Amino acid sequence: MTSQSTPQLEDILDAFAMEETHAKATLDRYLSTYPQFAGDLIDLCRELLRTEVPANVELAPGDSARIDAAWAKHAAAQPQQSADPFAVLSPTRSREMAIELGVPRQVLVAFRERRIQIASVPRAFCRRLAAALATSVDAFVAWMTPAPTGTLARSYRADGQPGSPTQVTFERILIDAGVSDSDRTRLLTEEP
Amino acid sequence: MAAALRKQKPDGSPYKRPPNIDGQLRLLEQLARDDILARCEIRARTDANYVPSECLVHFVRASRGDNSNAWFERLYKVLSARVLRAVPAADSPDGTTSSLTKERIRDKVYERFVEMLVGDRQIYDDRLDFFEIRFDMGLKRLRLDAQKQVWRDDNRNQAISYDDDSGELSPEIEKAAGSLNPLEGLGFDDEAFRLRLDAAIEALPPEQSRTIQMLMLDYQIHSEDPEVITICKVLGKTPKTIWNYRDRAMKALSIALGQGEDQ
Repeated sequence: MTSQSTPQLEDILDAFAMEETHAKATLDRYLSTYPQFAGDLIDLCRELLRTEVPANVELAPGDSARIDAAWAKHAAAQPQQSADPFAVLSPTRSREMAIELGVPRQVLVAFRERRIQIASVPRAFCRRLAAALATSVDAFVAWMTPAPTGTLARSYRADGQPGSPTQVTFERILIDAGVSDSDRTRLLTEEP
Repeated sequence: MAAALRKQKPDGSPYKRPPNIDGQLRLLEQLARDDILARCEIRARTDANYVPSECLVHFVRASRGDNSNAWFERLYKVLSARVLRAVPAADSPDGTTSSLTKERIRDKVYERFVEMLVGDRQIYDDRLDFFEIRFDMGLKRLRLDAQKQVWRDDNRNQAISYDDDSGELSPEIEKAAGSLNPLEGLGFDDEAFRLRLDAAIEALPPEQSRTIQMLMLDYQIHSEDPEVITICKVLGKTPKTIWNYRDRAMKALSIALGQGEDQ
Protein backbone atom coordinates (compact mmCIF):
# COMPACT_ATOMS: atom_id res chain seq x y z
CA MET A 1 0.00 0.00 0.00
CA THR A 2 1.23 3.39 -0.92
CA SER A 3 1.69 6.02 1.71
CA GLN A 4 -1.25 8.40 1.77
CA SER A 5 1.03 11.40 1.95
CA THR A 6 2.83 10.59 -1.30
CA PRO A 7 0.30 9.48 -3.89
CA GLN A 8 1.81 7.40 -6.65
CA LEU A 9 0.80 7.94 -10.24
CA GLU A 10 -0.18 4.30 -10.85
CA ASP A 11 -2.42 4.17 -7.75
CA ILE A 12 -4.19 7.37 -8.72
CA LEU A 13 -4.73 6.21 -12.30
CA ASP A 14 -6.10 2.90 -10.99
CA ALA A 15 -8.47 4.72 -8.67
CA PHE A 16 -9.65 7.00 -11.50
CA ALA A 17 -10.20 4.03 -13.83
CA MET A 18 -12.34 2.30 -11.18
CA GLU A 19 -14.65 5.31 -10.68
CA GLU A 20 -18.27 4.72 -11.60
CA THR A 21 -18.25 7.42 -14.28
CA HIS A 22 -15.58 9.43 -16.01
CA ALA A 23 -17.63 12.52 -16.63
CA LYS A 24 -16.24 16.02 -16.22
CA ALA A 25 -17.13 16.17 -12.51
CA THR A 26 -14.99 13.09 -11.80
CA LEU A 27 -12.06 14.38 -13.83
CA ASP A 28 -12.43 17.79 -12.10
CA ARG A 29 -12.03 16.14 -8.72
CA TYR A 30 -8.88 14.29 -9.74
CA LEU A 31 -7.35 17.29 -11.54
CA SER A 32 -7.91 19.44 -8.44
CA THR A 33 -6.51 16.85 -6.03
CA TYR A 34 -3.63 15.60 -8.17
CA PRO A 35 -2.63 18.44 -10.53
CA GLN A 36 0.82 16.86 -10.82
CA PHE A 37 -0.74 13.95 -12.75
CA ALA A 38 -2.95 16.09 -15.02
CA GLY A 39 -1.50 14.93 -18.35
CA ASP A 40 -1.75 11.24 -17.51
CA LEU A 41 -5.25 11.67 -16.08
CA ILE A 42 -6.49 13.36 -19.26
CA ASP A 43 -4.87 10.68 -21.43
CA LEU A 44 -6.51 7.97 -19.35
CA CYS A 45 -9.85 9.77 -19.42
CA ARG A 46 -9.72 9.77 -23.22
CA GLU A 47 -8.95 6.06 -23.23
CA LEU A 48 -11.75 5.27 -20.78
CA LEU A 49 -14.28 7.24 -22.81
CA ARG A 50 -13.29 5.64 -26.10
CA THR A 51 -16.03 4.04 -28.11
CA GLU A 52 -16.37 0.37 -27.23
CA VAL A 53 -15.22 -2.08 -29.85
CA PRO A 54 -18.30 -3.83 -31.31
CA ALA A 55 -19.01 -7.19 -29.64
CA ASN A 56 -19.29 -9.00 -32.97
CA VAL A 57 -15.56 -8.70 -33.72
CA GLU A 58 -14.10 -12.09 -34.59
CA LEU A 59 -10.82 -13.45 -33.31
CA ALA A 60 -7.78 -12.98 -35.51
CA PRO A 61 -6.11 -15.95 -37.20
CA GLY A 62 -3.69 -17.48 -34.76
CA ASP A 63 -5.62 -16.35 -31.68
CA SER A 64 -6.81 -19.87 -30.88
CA ALA A 65 -3.26 -21.21 -30.86
CA ARG A 66 -2.20 -18.28 -28.72
CA ILE A 67 -5.00 -18.96 -26.23
CA ASP A 68 -4.07 -22.67 -26.09
CA ALA A 69 -0.45 -21.77 -25.35
CA ALA A 70 -1.51 -19.33 -22.62
CA TRP A 71 -3.70 -21.98 -21.00
CA ALA A 72 -0.87 -24.53 -21.04
CA LYS A 73 1.30 -22.02 -19.18
CA HIS A 74 -1.51 -21.23 -16.77
CA ALA A 75 -2.31 -24.87 -15.98
CA ALA A 76 1.37 -25.61 -15.38
CA ALA A 77 1.63 -22.91 -12.72
CA GLN A 78 1.12 -24.65 -9.41
CA PRO A 79 -0.46 -22.74 -6.56
CA GLN A 80 1.91 -22.31 -3.63
CA GLN A 81 -0.35 -24.19 -1.30
CA SER A 82 2.13 -24.52 1.50
CA ALA A 83 2.25 -20.76 1.90
CA ASP A 84 0.61 -19.25 4.97
CA PRO A 85 -2.80 -18.08 3.69
CA PHE A 86 -2.96 -15.51 6.48
CA ALA A 87 0.40 -13.96 5.64
CA VAL A 88 -0.93 -11.39 3.21
CA LEU A 89 -3.84 -10.25 5.38
CA SER A 90 -3.79 -6.65 6.52
CA PRO A 91 -5.09 -5.84 10.02
CA THR A 92 -8.09 -4.12 8.42
CA ARG A 93 -8.88 -7.17 6.34
CA SER A 94 -8.54 -9.43 9.39
CA ARG A 95 -11.12 -7.32 11.22
CA GLU A 96 -13.48 -7.42 8.26
CA MET A 97 -13.08 -11.18 7.91
CA ALA A 98 -13.94 -11.76 11.57
CA ILE A 99 -17.15 -9.77 11.04
CA GLU A 100 -17.97 -11.62 7.80
CA LEU A 101 -17.44 -14.98 9.48
CA GLY A 102 -19.32 -13.99 12.64
CA VAL A 103 -16.55 -14.84 15.11
CA PRO A 104 -14.33 -12.79 17.45
CA ARG A 105 -10.97 -11.88 16.01
CA GLN A 106 -9.13 -14.10 18.47
CA VAL A 107 -10.74 -17.13 16.79
CA LEU A 108 -9.06 -16.11 13.55
CA VAL A 109 -5.81 -15.67 15.44
CA ALA A 110 -6.16 -19.26 16.72
CA PHE A 111 -6.57 -20.46 13.12
CA ARG A 112 -3.61 -18.40 12.05
CA GLU A 113 -1.47 -19.97 14.76
CA ARG A 114 -2.84 -23.39 13.84
CA ARG A 115 -4.04 -24.06 17.37
CA ILE A 116 -7.29 -25.68 16.20
CA GLN A 117 -7.84 -29.31 15.30
CA ILE A 118 -9.05 -28.89 11.76
CA ALA A 119 -11.16 -32.08 11.97
CA SER A 120 -13.26 -30.41 14.67
CA VAL A 121 -14.21 -27.50 12.40
CA PRO A 122 -17.51 -27.90 10.50
CA ARG A 123 -16.98 -28.20 6.76
CA ALA A 124 -19.25 -25.24 6.04
CA PHE A 125 -17.18 -22.94 8.26
CA CYS A 126 -13.98 -24.28 6.67
CA ARG A 127 -15.40 -23.45 3.27
CA ARG A 128 -16.33 -19.90 4.27
CA LEU A 129 -12.96 -19.31 5.88
CA ALA A 130 -11.05 -20.72 2.89
CA ALA A 131 -13.09 -18.55 0.52
CA ALA A 132 -12.38 -15.46 2.63
CA LEU A 133 -8.68 -16.32 2.42
CA ALA A 134 -8.99 -16.79 -1.34
CA THR A 135 -7.74 -20.36 -1.10
CA SER A 136 -9.36 -23.77 -1.50
CA VAL A 137 -10.73 -25.87 1.34
CA ASP A 138 -8.21 -28.60 0.53
CA ALA A 139 -5.28 -26.20 0.57
CA PHE A 140 -6.51 -24.62 3.80
CA VAL A 141 -6.99 -28.01 5.49
CA ALA A 142 -3.55 -29.11 4.31
CA TRP A 143 -2.00 -25.99 5.76
CA MET A 144 -3.83 -26.44 9.09
CA THR A 145 -2.95 -30.10 9.44
CA PRO A 146 0.69 -30.00 10.57
CA ALA A 147 1.03 -29.23 14.24
CA PRO A 148 2.72 -25.98 15.14
CA THR A 149 6.36 -26.27 16.00
CA GLY A 150 9.01 -24.32 17.84
CA THR A 151 8.43 -21.59 20.35
CA LEU A 152 4.95 -20.75 19.07
CA ALA A 153 3.79 -24.31 19.80
CA ARG A 154 5.28 -24.39 23.25
CA SER A 155 3.59 -21.19 24.27
CA TYR A 156 0.15 -22.85 24.24
CA ARG A 157 -0.90 -25.60 26.55
CA ALA A 158 -2.80 -28.69 25.53
CA ASP A 159 -6.17 -29.18 27.13
CA GLY A 160 -6.37 -32.91 27.02
CA GLN A 161 -8.02 -33.29 23.63
CA PRO A 162 -6.83 -36.07 21.35
CA GLY A 163 -4.66 -35.28 18.36
CA SER A 164 -1.80 -32.83 18.38
CA PRO A 165 -0.87 -31.93 21.94
CA THR A 166 -0.99 -28.23 21.13
CA GLN A 167 -4.20 -28.18 19.10
CA VAL A 168 -7.63 -27.92 20.66
CA THR A 169 -11.13 -28.23 19.29
CA PHE A 170 -12.93 -25.46 17.46
CA GLU A 171 -15.58 -25.55 20.21
CA ARG A 172 -12.96 -24.99 22.92
CA ILE A 173 -11.61 -21.96 21.04
CA LEU A 174 -15.14 -20.56 20.69
CA ILE A 175 -15.81 -21.03 24.41
CA ASP A 176 -12.50 -19.40 25.33
CA ALA A 177 -13.29 -16.50 23.02
CA GLY A 178 -16.55 -15.91 24.90
CA VAL A 179 -18.85 -16.81 21.99
CA SER A 180 -22.42 -17.12 23.32
CA ASP A 181 -24.11 -20.52 23.52
CA SER A 182 -26.51 -19.72 20.69
CA ASP A 183 -23.78 -18.41 18.38
CA ARG A 184 -21.62 -21.39 19.22
CA THR A 185 -24.41 -23.80 18.37
CA ARG A 186 -25.01 -21.96 15.11
CA LEU A 187 -21.33 -22.10 14.13
CA LEU A 188 -20.93 -25.74 15.10
CA THR A 189 -24.03 -26.95 13.31
CA GLU A 190 -23.64 -24.84 10.21
CA GLU A 191 -25.11 -26.62 7.22
CA PRO A 192 -22.62 -27.44 4.50
CA MET B 1 -20.21 -15.57 -0.91
CA ALA B 2 -17.23 -14.39 -2.90
CA ALA B 3 -14.20 -13.44 -0.81
CA ALA B 4 -13.64 -9.72 -0.40
CA LEU B 5 -11.04 -8.11 -2.64
CA ARG B 6 -7.70 -7.15 -1.12
CA LYS B 7 -6.58 -4.15 -3.15
CA GLN B 8 -6.75 -0.88 -1.24
CA LYS B 9 -7.55 2.58 -2.55
CA PRO B 10 -5.06 5.43 -2.18
CA ASP B 11 -6.96 6.52 0.96
CA GLY B 12 -6.52 3.07 2.52
CA SER B 13 -10.13 1.92 2.15
CA PRO B 14 -10.70 -1.40 0.39
CA TYR B 15 -11.87 -1.69 -3.20
CA LYS B 16 -15.15 -3.54 -3.47
CA ARG B 17 -16.97 -5.23 -6.31
CA PRO B 18 -20.01 -3.24 -7.47
CA PRO B 19 -23.29 -4.60 -6.02
CA ASN B 20 -24.44 -5.91 -9.41
CA ILE B 21 -21.30 -8.04 -9.75
CA ASP B 22 -21.66 -9.39 -6.20
CA GLY B 23 -25.30 -10.17 -6.97
CA GLN B 24 -24.39 -11.96 -10.21
CA LEU B 25 -21.74 -14.03 -8.42
CA ARG B 26 -24.25 -15.09 -5.77
CA LEU B 27 -26.66 -16.19 -8.49
CA LEU B 28 -24.04 -17.98 -10.57
CA GLU B 29 -22.56 -19.83 -7.61
CA GLN B 30 -25.87 -21.62 -7.20
CA LEU B 31 -25.79 -22.98 -10.76
CA ALA B 32 -24.23 -26.17 -12.03
CA ARG B 33 -20.83 -25.67 -13.65
CA ASP B 34 -22.10 -26.59 -17.09
CA ASP B 35 -24.83 -23.98 -16.79
CA ILE B 36 -22.32 -21.33 -15.74
CA LEU B 37 -20.13 -22.23 -18.70
CA ALA B 38 -23.04 -22.10 -21.12
CA ARG B 39 -23.89 -18.61 -19.88
CA CYS B 40 -20.28 -17.48 -20.06
CA GLU B 41 -20.22 -18.40 -23.73
CA ILE B 42 -22.98 -15.89 -24.52
CA ARG B 43 -21.39 -12.95 -26.35
CA ALA B 44 -24.25 -10.47 -26.54
CA ARG B 45 -24.14 -8.13 -23.57
CA THR B 46 -27.82 -7.44 -24.04
CA ASP B 47 -28.71 -11.09 -23.38
CA ALA B 48 -30.33 -11.51 -19.94
CA ASN B 49 -28.04 -14.46 -19.19
CA TYR B 50 -24.82 -12.74 -20.28
CA VAL B 51 -22.12 -13.20 -17.64
CA PRO B 52 -20.12 -10.02 -16.98
CA SER B 53 -16.38 -10.49 -17.55
CA GLU B 54 -15.83 -9.43 -13.92
CA CYS B 55 -17.51 -12.69 -12.82
CA LEU B 56 -15.55 -14.70 -15.36
CA VAL B 57 -12.30 -13.32 -13.94
CA HIS B 58 -13.48 -14.25 -10.46
CA PHE B 59 -14.14 -17.88 -11.46
CA VAL B 60 -10.83 -18.24 -13.28
CA ARG B 61 -8.95 -16.83 -10.27
CA ALA B 62 -10.81 -19.26 -8.01
CA SER B 63 -9.25 -22.11 -10.00
CA ARG B 64 -6.03 -21.67 -8.07
CA GLY B 65 -7.14 -24.25 -5.54
CA ASP B 66 -9.32 -26.45 -7.67
CA ASN B 67 -8.30 -29.47 -9.68
CA SER B 68 -11.21 -29.42 -12.14
CA ASN B 69 -8.95 -28.29 -14.92
CA ALA B 70 -11.25 -29.22 -17.79
CA TRP B 71 -13.93 -26.80 -16.61
CA PHE B 72 -11.50 -24.01 -15.83
CA GLU B 73 -9.77 -24.52 -19.14
CA ARG B 74 -13.01 -23.72 -20.94
CA LEU B 75 -13.68 -20.69 -18.74
CA TYR B 76 -10.12 -19.48 -19.23
CA LYS B 77 -10.48 -19.71 -22.98
CA VAL B 78 -13.76 -17.82 -23.00
CA LEU B 79 -12.13 -15.09 -20.91
CA SER B 80 -9.09 -14.99 -23.18
CA ALA B 81 -11.28 -14.59 -26.24
CA ARG B 82 -13.08 -11.67 -24.57
CA VAL B 83 -9.76 -9.93 -23.87
CA LEU B 84 -8.55 -10.38 -27.43
CA ARG B 85 -11.84 -9.21 -28.93
CA ALA B 86 -11.88 -6.11 -26.75
CA VAL B 87 -8.50 -4.88 -27.97
CA PRO B 88 -8.94 -3.39 -31.42
CA ALA B 89 -7.89 -5.85 -34.06
CA ALA B 90 -4.98 -5.07 -36.33
CA ASP B 91 -7.11 -4.35 -39.35
CA SER B 92 -9.67 -1.97 -37.88
CA PRO B 93 -10.10 1.06 -40.10
CA ASP B 94 -8.69 4.06 -38.28
CA GLY B 95 -6.53 5.32 -41.10
CA THR B 96 -3.83 6.66 -38.79
CA THR B 97 -2.07 3.80 -37.05
CA SER B 98 -0.18 1.04 -38.74
CA SER B 99 -1.51 -2.48 -38.34
CA LEU B 100 1.83 -3.69 -37.08
CA THR B 101 1.77 -1.21 -34.20
CA LYS B 102 -1.77 -2.18 -33.29
CA GLU B 103 -0.84 -5.81 -33.36
CA ARG B 104 2.07 -5.24 -31.01
CA ILE B 105 -0.16 -3.31 -28.62
CA ARG B 106 -2.71 -6.12 -28.73
CA ASP B 107 0.00 -8.72 -28.10
CA LYS B 108 1.32 -6.80 -25.13
CA VAL B 109 -2.12 -6.40 -23.56
CA TYR B 110 -2.86 -10.10 -23.83
CA GLU B 111 0.60 -11.15 -22.63
CA ARG B 112 0.31 -8.84 -19.63
CA PHE B 113 -3.13 -10.18 -18.74
CA VAL B 114 -1.98 -13.79 -19.09
CA GLU B 115 1.08 -13.09 -16.91
CA MET B 116 -1.07 -11.58 -14.19
CA LEU B 117 -3.39 -14.60 -14.20
CA VAL B 118 -0.48 -17.04 -14.01
CA GLY B 119 1.12 -15.08 -11.18
CA ASP B 120 -2.19 -14.86 -9.34
CA ARG B 121 -2.54 -18.64 -9.50
CA GLN B 122 0.63 -18.90 -7.46
CA ILE B 123 0.40 -15.88 -5.18
CA TYR B 124 -2.62 -13.57 -4.96
CA ASP B 125 -2.04 -10.58 -7.27
CA ASP B 126 -4.24 -7.72 -6.07
CA ARG B 127 -3.91 -5.88 -9.40
CA LEU B 128 -6.35 -8.43 -10.81
CA ASP B 129 -8.93 -7.15 -8.33
CA PHE B 130 -9.56 -4.28 -10.76
CA PHE B 131 -10.78 -6.79 -13.33
CA GLU B 132 -13.41 -8.02 -10.88
CA ILE B 133 -14.62 -4.43 -10.38
CA ARG B 134 -14.61 -2.88 -13.86
CA PHE B 135 -13.16 -5.29 -16.38
CA ASP B 136 -13.42 -2.97 -19.39
CA MET B 137 -11.70 -0.13 -17.57
CA GLY B 138 -8.95 -2.42 -16.30
CA LEU B 139 -8.35 -3.56 -19.86
CA LYS B 140 -8.24 0.01 -21.12
CA ARG B 141 -5.59 0.80 -18.51
CA LEU B 142 -3.55 -2.12 -19.85
CA ARG B 143 -4.08 -0.98 -23.43
CA LEU B 144 -2.94 2.57 -22.72
CA ASP B 145 0.17 1.33 -20.91
CA ALA B 146 0.95 -1.08 -23.76
CA GLN B 147 0.49 1.68 -26.30
CA LYS B 148 2.82 4.04 -24.45
CA GLN B 149 5.43 1.31 -24.27
CA VAL B 150 5.16 0.45 -27.97
CA TRP B 151 5.29 4.11 -28.99
CA ARG B 152 8.29 4.66 -26.72
CA ASP B 153 10.03 1.66 -28.31
CA ASP B 154 9.34 3.21 -31.69
CA ASN B 155 10.66 6.57 -30.50
CA ARG B 156 7.34 7.99 -31.43
CA ASN B 157 7.23 11.19 -29.42
CA GLN B 158 4.84 12.82 -31.78
CA ALA B 159 2.58 10.19 -33.21
CA ILE B 160 1.91 11.78 -36.54
CA SER B 161 2.98 15.19 -37.72
CA TYR B 162 0.90 17.07 -40.22
CA ASP B 163 2.17 19.80 -42.44
CA ASP B 164 0.25 22.91 -41.45
CA ASP B 165 -0.11 23.97 -45.05
CA SER B 166 -1.34 20.66 -46.36
CA GLY B 167 -4.95 19.70 -46.81
CA GLU B 168 -8.11 21.73 -46.80
CA LEU B 169 -10.37 21.91 -43.77
CA SER B 170 -13.62 20.14 -44.51
CA PRO B 171 -16.60 22.54 -44.36
CA GLU B 172 -18.00 20.68 -41.31
CA ILE B 173 -14.75 20.89 -39.38
CA GLU B 174 -14.23 24.51 -40.38
CA LYS B 175 -17.68 25.41 -39.15
CA ALA B 176 -17.24 23.46 -35.93
CA ALA B 177 -13.90 25.13 -35.26
CA GLY B 178 -15.74 28.34 -34.51
CA SER B 179 -17.67 26.89 -31.58
CA LEU B 180 -16.42 26.44 -28.03
CA ASN B 181 -16.37 22.64 -28.28
CA PRO B 182 -15.14 22.20 -31.82
CA LEU B 183 -16.26 18.60 -32.12
CA GLU B 184 -19.75 19.03 -30.76
CA GLY B 185 -22.39 17.27 -32.83
CA LEU B 186 -19.91 15.83 -35.32
CA GLY B 187 -21.31 12.47 -36.43
CA PHE B 188 -21.22 11.00 -32.93
CA ASP B 189 -24.17 8.76 -33.68
CA ASP B 190 -22.08 6.96 -36.25
CA GLU B 191 -20.03 4.27 -34.48
CA ALA B 192 -17.54 3.88 -37.32
CA PHE B 193 -16.94 7.64 -37.35
CA ARG B 194 -16.41 7.68 -33.59
CA LEU B 195 -13.86 4.86 -33.77
CA ARG B 196 -11.93 6.77 -36.43
CA LEU B 197 -12.19 10.01 -34.50
CA ASP B 198 -10.92 8.32 -31.30
CA ALA B 199 -7.95 6.91 -33.19
CA ALA B 200 -7.22 10.24 -34.86
CA ILE B 201 -7.28 12.13 -31.54
CA GLU B 202 -5.04 9.50 -30.00
CA ALA B 203 -2.53 9.97 -32.81
CA LEU B 204 -2.16 13.70 -32.11
CA PRO B 205 0.85 15.02 -30.16
CA PRO B 206 0.07 14.81 -26.41
CA GLU B 207 -0.65 18.52 -25.82
CA GLN B 208 -3.03 18.64 -28.76
CA SER B 209 -4.90 15.46 -27.85
CA ARG B 210 -5.23 16.66 -24.25
CA THR B 211 -6.53 20.03 -25.43
CA ILE B 212 -9.11 18.35 -27.65
CA GLN B 213 -10.12 15.88 -24.93
CA MET B 214 -10.71 18.75 -22.48
CA LEU B 215 -12.66 20.75 -25.07
CA MET B 216 -14.84 17.70 -25.70
CA LEU B 217 -15.56 17.57 -21.98
CA ASP B 218 -16.57 21.27 -22.11
CA TYR B 219 -13.61 22.72 -20.27
CA GLN B 220 -13.00 26.41 -20.94
CA ILE B 221 -9.68 27.40 -22.45
CA HIS B 222 -9.30 30.34 -20.09
CA SER B 223 -11.25 32.06 -17.31
CA GLU B 224 -10.74 35.11 -15.13
CA ASP B 225 -12.36 33.18 -12.27
CA PRO B 226 -9.51 31.54 -10.30
CA GLU B 227 -11.88 28.80 -9.10
CA VAL B 228 -12.61 27.53 -12.59
CA ILE B 229 -10.52 24.61 -13.84
CA THR B 230 -9.38 25.66 -17.31
CA ILE B 231 -7.28 24.02 -19.99
CA CYS B 232 -4.63 26.75 -19.62
CA LYS B 233 -4.34 26.10 -15.90
CA VAL B 234 -4.27 22.31 -16.13
CA LEU B 235 -1.75 22.17 -18.95
CA GLY B 236 0.23 25.17 -17.64
CA LYS B 237 0.11 27.10 -20.94
CA THR B 238 -1.04 30.52 -22.11
CA PRO B 239 -4.39 30.92 -23.90
CA LYS B 240 -2.53 31.68 -27.12
CA THR B 241 -0.64 28.39 -26.95
CA ILE B 242 -3.81 26.44 -26.26
CA TRP B 243 -5.59 28.13 -29.20
CA ASN B 244 -2.62 27.13 -31.29
CA TYR B 245 -2.85 23.48 -30.13
CA ARG B 246 -6.55 23.51 -30.86
CA ASP B 247 -6.18 24.87 -34.39
CA ARG B 248 -3.38 22.49 -35.28
CA ALA B 249 -5.35 19.58 -33.84
CA MET B 250 -8.47 20.50 -35.81
CA LYS B 251 -6.49 20.67 -39.01
CA ALA B 252 -4.84 17.31 -38.32
CA LEU B 253 -8.17 15.69 -37.45
CA SER B 254 -9.74 17.05 -40.59
CA ILE B 255 -7.00 15.52 -42.70
CA ALA B 256 -7.05 12.19 -40.83
CA LEU B 257 -10.80 11.83 -41.09
CA GLY B 258 -10.84 12.98 -44.70
CA GLN B 259 -8.22 10.36 -45.52
CA GLY B 260 -10.31 7.73 -43.78
CA GLU B 261 -13.31 8.51 -45.95
CA ASP B 262 -11.29 8.04 -49.10
CA GLN B 263 -10.44 4.44 -48.23
